[in-house]
Amino acid sequence: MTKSMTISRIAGKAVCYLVVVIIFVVAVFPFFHLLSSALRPYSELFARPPLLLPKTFTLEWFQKVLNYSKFFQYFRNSIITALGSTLLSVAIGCMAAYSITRGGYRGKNLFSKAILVAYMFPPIILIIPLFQIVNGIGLANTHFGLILTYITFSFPFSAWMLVSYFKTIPKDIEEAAKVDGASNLRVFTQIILPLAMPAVVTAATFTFINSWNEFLYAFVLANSDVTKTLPVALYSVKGGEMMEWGPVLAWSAMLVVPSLIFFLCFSKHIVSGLTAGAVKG
Amino acid sequence: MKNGQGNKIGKRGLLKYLDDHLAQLFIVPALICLALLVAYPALLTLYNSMTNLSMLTMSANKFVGLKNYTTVLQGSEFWVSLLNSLVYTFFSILGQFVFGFISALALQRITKGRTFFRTAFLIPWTFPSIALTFLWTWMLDPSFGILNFILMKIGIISDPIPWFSMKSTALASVIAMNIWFGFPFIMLSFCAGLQTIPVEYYEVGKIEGVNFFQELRYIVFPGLKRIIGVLLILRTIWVFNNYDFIFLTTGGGPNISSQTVPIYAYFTAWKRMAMGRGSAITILLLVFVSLFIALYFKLFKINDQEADE
Repeated sequence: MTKSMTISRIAGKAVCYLVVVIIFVVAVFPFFHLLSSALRPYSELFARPPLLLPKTFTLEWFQKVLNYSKFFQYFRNSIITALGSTLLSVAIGCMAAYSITRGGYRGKNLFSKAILVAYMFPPIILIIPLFQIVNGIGLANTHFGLILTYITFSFPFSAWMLVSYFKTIPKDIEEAAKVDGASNLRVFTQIILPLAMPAVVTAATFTFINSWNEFLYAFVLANSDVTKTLPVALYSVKGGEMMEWGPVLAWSAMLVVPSLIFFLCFSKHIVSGLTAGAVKG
Repeated sequence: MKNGQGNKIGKRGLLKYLDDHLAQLFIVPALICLALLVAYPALLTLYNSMTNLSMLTMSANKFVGLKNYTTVLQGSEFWVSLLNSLVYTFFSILGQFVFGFISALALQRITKGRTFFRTAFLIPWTFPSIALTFLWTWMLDPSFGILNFILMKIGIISDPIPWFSMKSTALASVIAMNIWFGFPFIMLSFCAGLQTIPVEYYEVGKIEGVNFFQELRYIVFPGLKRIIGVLLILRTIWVFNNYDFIFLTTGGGPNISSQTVPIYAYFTAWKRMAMGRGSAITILLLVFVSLFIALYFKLFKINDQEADE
């Protein structure tokens, strides 16, 4: 009896390890293949049958991408747009989160629901009107115009992430400070914000990565080199009859790196933020 | 002199008043964003959907009533796209949940390298859509793609298949890609959920001699019910709204065999220049998404902010 139970326990564990290893291969192999393809020379890139591992390593595709005359302009556009929308969204998000968690006024529930609805809104529905608005106020092909459209998805996102964290900050310290005569603004800037810093940093990081990865809005709204972001520029490189696979793969690999680093560092905080505070722990 | 003092007190009074109402004051920027960048555009779309707005005549549009809606709903293209959307969403979510759940469960039961594996499993989810779609297009390439090669080696297929450009495989291939991309997030959520199930439950289960499936049924699923519900609705909305993955791989083709509603809306508005009709399609999309948003609100009382504490 006990013996068979130990055997079945060991077998169960072995099955678990097997499953983990299989999923590991499935999850990691495409990423590995991206790197190994981007690092091989032309002849090996188009070898038939395809090679699992490159025989010679080369950085020529990465060099080629970096030598595109406009690569750094696109890079700059991506950085400006992502930073701008992050700063604005997190600032607005912090204020909204304070308001939702600390305020006691009528319409608060409606307000927090409206943010959640905005969070779930189909982006495709907003494209035409945002295009009209941005053109209408003379912000077509400016960084700020694109930043404004990014706020539509990044502000509800950061607000919700911050709400779930602000809720966990104990109110005793604030109340003690208020008894000592501190104003609400002081409590917000000198007690709540410093305590919420981990969440603020996480929200900022995610907002930045979301904007950095964004394709649809930039594709429709950023047509000129002045505003084109890296993903859209990569899309236009792909154009033409023959896909230039070498540079395309190297460029893709470069795009993955920032989000890879950030997501792996912040994996713990992802869940609570994205599921709008509905998942505890 | 007196006047100045009064002013000062007035100013201080005003500041005090503003500070007392800081919470109300702090919703102003968010309200402006919601009003100008979400609500107003949404209403503008509703209006556009009843005009013959076109890319070519951005301003000279005429009110046409519900004509766009009847045109869209009477054509077969909308229904094909809607069916594709439903198939795409259903199977993507199903696959993500199955793989996410299996990964979380397996991770929970191993002792060595759990953190390492969990972190490695996250990699697909870090891909920007453009890198994700290009990588998969490369892997599935009929001439040089590694996947055809591997599948032929194991003997699953005998000839290379142009996965993204064949009618019978296009949508299924995007779904496979989406499952690969999305399962880590489900896994992560389930990992967090599994931790909230008290260890004692499992111990009682062991004493009672429950087998693996009974344990799933009576201990694990009840403990994950809430997370499953939240994820199911949120993921459905996201995948249903998703545009990039299909646009960047199959482009909705061949013909319209993998075209979903967002792609249909995009092509109508920007390629066929019929922005009025494109807007009508997005409104129809919103109607569908609204059902899920309403369901979310009904099932999870997020308005009780304090109830959790």
